[in-house]
Amino acid sequence: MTVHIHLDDVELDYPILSQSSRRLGRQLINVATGGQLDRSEQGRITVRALTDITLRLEVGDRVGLIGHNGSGKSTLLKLLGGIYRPTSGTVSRAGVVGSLLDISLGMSPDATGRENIFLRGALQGMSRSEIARLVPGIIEFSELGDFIELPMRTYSSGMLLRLAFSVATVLSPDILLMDEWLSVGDEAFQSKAEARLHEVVSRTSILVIASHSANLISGQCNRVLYLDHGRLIADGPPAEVLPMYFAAPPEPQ
Amino acid sequence: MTTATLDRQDTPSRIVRLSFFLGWQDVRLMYRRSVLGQFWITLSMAITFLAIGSVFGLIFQSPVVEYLPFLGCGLVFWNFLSLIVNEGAVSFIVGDAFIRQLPLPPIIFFLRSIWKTVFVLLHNAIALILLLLVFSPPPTPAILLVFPAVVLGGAGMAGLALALAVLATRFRDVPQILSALIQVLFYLTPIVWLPQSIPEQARGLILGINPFYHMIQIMRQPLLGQLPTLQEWGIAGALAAVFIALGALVYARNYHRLAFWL
Repeated sequence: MTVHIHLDDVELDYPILSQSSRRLGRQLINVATGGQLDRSEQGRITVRALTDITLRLEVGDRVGLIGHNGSGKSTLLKLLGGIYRPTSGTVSRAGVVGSLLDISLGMSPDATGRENIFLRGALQGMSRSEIARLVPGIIEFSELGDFIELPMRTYSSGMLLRLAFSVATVLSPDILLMDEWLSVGDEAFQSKAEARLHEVVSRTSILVIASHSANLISGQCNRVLYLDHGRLIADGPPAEVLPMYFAAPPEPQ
Repeated sequence: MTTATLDRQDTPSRIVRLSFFLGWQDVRLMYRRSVLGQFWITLSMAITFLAIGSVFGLIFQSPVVEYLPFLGCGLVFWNFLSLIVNEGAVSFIVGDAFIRQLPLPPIIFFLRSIWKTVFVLLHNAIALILLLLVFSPPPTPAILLVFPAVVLGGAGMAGLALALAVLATRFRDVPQILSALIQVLFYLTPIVWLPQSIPEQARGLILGINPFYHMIQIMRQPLLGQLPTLQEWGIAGALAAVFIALGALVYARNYHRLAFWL
């Protein structure tokens, strides 16, 4: 089956479970959140995070997600990645999903750099033998040298990010999800990382990237989805959609 | 540049392998900076044997060769089953960031906690084997029954823990209630004291309703040179079947909601 993600009439409600949510109720409804707060029949409060989304993402789509904070970009990314399931409507997805959302998640400060490559690699869905095959390349790219045998708590934050980046970008998923562009390390490493990231993006069949940067989206994407209060209000080429948001961004309510 | 190809994440073999690896890492890294490493688990269990064994052996005036093996088996299996419930119940809460970020089935993070308790059991088993070598008569073939018993008891309690894990993710008071309850159950289960010390007419009430008791009975007896009765196997088996069915049902109905509850 060809790689695709199809959403049909998707709605997604978030339950709000904190005790204090009872008291929030009305006051919050029109405050600067994107979602609309609602009470279900049992008196539970839910946030309508996505409303009425119908969408066809096909091979070759380079999709930029734009919208205010809270407009549903992250929720949509998680829905596309299969982390959330819609409250109603259908999602059909073919292809392996990879994400560059939180690239150091799961790394342990007490494990050595090398062990962390295996940990992180396993979480990314790679088999042990596959990771073992890639380890030399990852170590070389990260420029950690002998530090790779030391516990990660001895690393500077730059070293840590270089390692996480080097592991995350050996992936070659069919569908790649990103929240803003990744940029790590000092200047020398940055240009190398930039090239690497472009390779990853070019290998993937569908790219979805949420961003607040018009430059990034016009450079990387051939299609832009504009979300506002959980609704898809525009879907088209960057030249058409970007001005709608960046020229005169509507005030958050 | 070399790249990794990816397969589907949710096949059973992937789930088992990934959770096994993560659970093993948890145990190893917990003791990373100490000299003995994870063998602290073994050593602290051995110290518990000796401390409780010598004091309560005196209190109950039971001969050491009888009391110590009984106590040792009880402590090790209690530790195993109670860890399954305690750690299993919070496994989704602990795996919070993973479940909300990675497109992996949440069950992986439950199984991770179960594997971790299995590794702890294996380390405790070293202390137990040493204890039995010193204090018990040479084993008979009946001892092999301990393996199916451990699998049955562990899987049964894991089924219960899975149902509780879903509940605990939704209602955050559940882990507190559980750990209080389990602490009480430790005293109500014949681990330090012998089952015979409860009057016959009260046994049904005190022991009968305690699932830990039934599971520990089938696990402990083979190591003490006794054969669990058919009735004991039956009760443990039925409990395990009910718990596993309950866990599977509760998980299957709610797994897609876990990401929202975290």
